[in-house]
Amino acid sequence: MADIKHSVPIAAKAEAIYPLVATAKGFRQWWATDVTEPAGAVELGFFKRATVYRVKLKTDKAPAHAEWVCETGDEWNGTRIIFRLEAAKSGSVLRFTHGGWKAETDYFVSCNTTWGELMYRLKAVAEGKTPGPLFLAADMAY
Amino acid sequence: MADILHRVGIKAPAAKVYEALSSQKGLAGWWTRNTNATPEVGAVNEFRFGELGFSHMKITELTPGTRVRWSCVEGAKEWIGTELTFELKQQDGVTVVLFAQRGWREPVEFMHYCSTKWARYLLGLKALCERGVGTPYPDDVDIGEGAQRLSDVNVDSIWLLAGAKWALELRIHPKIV
Repeated sequence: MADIKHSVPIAAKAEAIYPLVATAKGFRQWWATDVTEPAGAVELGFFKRATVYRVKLKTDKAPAHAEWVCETGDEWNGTRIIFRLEAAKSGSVLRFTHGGWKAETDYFVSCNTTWGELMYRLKAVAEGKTPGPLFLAADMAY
Repeated sequence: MADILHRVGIKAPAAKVYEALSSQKGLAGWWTRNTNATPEVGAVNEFRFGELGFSHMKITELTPGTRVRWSCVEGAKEWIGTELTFELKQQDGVTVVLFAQRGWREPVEFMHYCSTKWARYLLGLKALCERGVGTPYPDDVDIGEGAQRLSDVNVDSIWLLAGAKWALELRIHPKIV
């Protein structure tokens, strides 16, 4: 098993950050434009839905802990995406884990880098900037 | 022991990426402007990041177009003794950089914070090689504690570059689909 981990200080309160990591509406602001909510789940579409990742919120403890379980994808299926928020002197610290990968594949490593970029997008939105989501419906943000 | 691993596709010749990973001008163009580098095996290159700290890297390998390796000899205590590798591979006309910082004694939170920072700097390396503009310290969006500099930088232009970078990475990585 392999885990991706990131840690980012954010100049905002956990209460303000939490909806960004625990709701479909939040994901749309920094992760992907194409986010829908079929019954009981959230689906993120990438590249005109050539890829769809379906995730379900398994832990919803506002404003400290949101945990999603992935239900699709060759390598993502069964992995968990976990956001933990804690008060810090700069506002909050976000501790991120995308855990439970079966192996450290090339795609795992690429996703580590991609998640690093997404952390900056999330941080920026939480701090009142407007970079928008990284993944547009058909392509990536330019 | 624990490792930080990253993977970035750069639309530029390996020789150009190698130059950015070995020369004074190249390293100062994406990691920190306060760089003192000599491209010779055995040399100790110095990288300073103002109040955030510094690192001294002993060059242990320079293989043009293929690999650069450093050993951290001074800096943050968690970094000392770690081995850094930039491995270049050609894939469909793109130079793929495989980055590793190996030998962390423990996977502490500082390591995860550094992994996030490395993602940003490596994308800066990509932007430098593809467009001639990196975001070295202190031009990067600082995610450190006490960093209030965000308002000082043109965030929009940085995100613009970042988006372009990922578009390429994903094109060479169809498995995201």
